[in-house]
Amino acid sequence: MSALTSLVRSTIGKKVVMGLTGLIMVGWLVLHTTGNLLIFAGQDAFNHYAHFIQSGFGVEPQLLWLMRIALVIAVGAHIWAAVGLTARNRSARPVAYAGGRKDAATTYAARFMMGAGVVLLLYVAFHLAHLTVGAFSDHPVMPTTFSKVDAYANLVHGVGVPFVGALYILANLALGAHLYHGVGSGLQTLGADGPTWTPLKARLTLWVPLFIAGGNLVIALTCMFGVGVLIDAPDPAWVSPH
Amino acid sequence: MKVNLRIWRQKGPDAPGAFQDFSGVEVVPEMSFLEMLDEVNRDLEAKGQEPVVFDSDCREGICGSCGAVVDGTAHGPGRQQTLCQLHMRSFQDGDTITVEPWRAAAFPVVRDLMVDRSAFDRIIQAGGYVTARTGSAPDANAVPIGKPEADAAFDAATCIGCGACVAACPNASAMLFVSAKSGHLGLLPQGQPQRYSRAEAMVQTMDGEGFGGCSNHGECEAACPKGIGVSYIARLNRDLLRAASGAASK
Ligand code: FES
Repeated sequence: MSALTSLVRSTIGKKVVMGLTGLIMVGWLVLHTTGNLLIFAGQDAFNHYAHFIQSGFGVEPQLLWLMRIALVIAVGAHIWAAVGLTARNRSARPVAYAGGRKDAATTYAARFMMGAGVVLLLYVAFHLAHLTVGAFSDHPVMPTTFSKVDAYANLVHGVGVPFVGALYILANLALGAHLYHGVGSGLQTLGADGPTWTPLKARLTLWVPLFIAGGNLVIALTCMFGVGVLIDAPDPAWVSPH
Repeated sequence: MKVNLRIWRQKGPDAPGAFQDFSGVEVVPEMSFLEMLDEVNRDLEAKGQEPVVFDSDCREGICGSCGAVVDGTAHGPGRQQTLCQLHMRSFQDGDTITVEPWRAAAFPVVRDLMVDRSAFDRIIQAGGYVTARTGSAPDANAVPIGKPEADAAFDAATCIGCGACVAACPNASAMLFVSAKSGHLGLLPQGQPQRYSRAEAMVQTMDGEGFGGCSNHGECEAACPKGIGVSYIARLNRDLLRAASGAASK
């Protein structure tokens, strides 16, 4: 058996798939949050950015689909590895400690990876329906008509609804926890360890979730409480960048 | 001082087990945990009952024979010690102490606190050796080895194969053991020719034995009586990735 086949078949191979796909998603999330933060630059800038994405990054509309397909593959492979490893880990200890086992080093985030993962999967489905497809147009979830051109209004009105905003906040707390363990764990699995990597890994473990989940939390809270203070209320007459 | 004990009793691998309670056991703080168990067994034998079965040999933390989960922690409270190095002074008068065996599919219970760790032996047989004839011990300065490599190899080699890493891991993973064993040879010149095939073979056997996967909880490192770190796991993964990418054969 070649070294590659034997790696792919091993538990470590699954972990590598988990780490690689996770880091791909993390990279994408960094860009996504950065883009989201343009909400603070105003309706014009934000919609301009949304249009830039929809037009396939200003190059070719198909590119957007290419990115989406790549992400679906990453998510699918991540789940495949997670389900396989979890089943294996369960069967590796069929009889639990009758007196309980005390955690000495791990974190709640690490223990809750599968739970947070399920929460995130449900959230992604909702989030796509909510702000990409516009499935809840003129609905309590999105009280205004979903606009194909005014992403700013969709976001501000959509997330501004208290219970929707609360959902976004909860989901991003789960995301923060998932990343808090995931970033460091993924890097460790890929062998990133040593005088350079160990301190860098510790920093990334903290700053990546803080930026991604923290950034999104700030945006959700702004849509809920900061309209007219931190950001302008959407101009209903907005058609295209002035 | 007096303690209460809840000790796991199980007649065989497939027999159902349960805790047996021993209340008001008289101990002295200077006793080691295993000496305390010896006393319990002396009483049981005097009453014509079956003694509690547990593994031990050196009783000074170097052989890796002993081990049990005490109050939820592999080798009991305190860091970097084996069960035989745990003393009753770590407990308070009147404490109730729960003692049970390592729990893992790959470590079936033989009886009471004794588990079958031959899965570890099979992992070693798969690659934990050097086939090159190395002759008798060479002069210490014959093959120059850098101090950092020598230290790292030595730290990995302090693994006594007790299995606490598996016992402490939420996934019952053996990655710390395998990474220490493949690492200590893979770090030295004598171990280089088989560095990658060794890592592969040991991981394959590890998976085949039914151990779980590593989720990087770090519980193994905290439980290891020798303080072996999870850095060795990253190193093992690097070796496997290098082998899989073909970079190792160049
Ligand atoms: S009996 Fe040898 S390490 Fe405990």
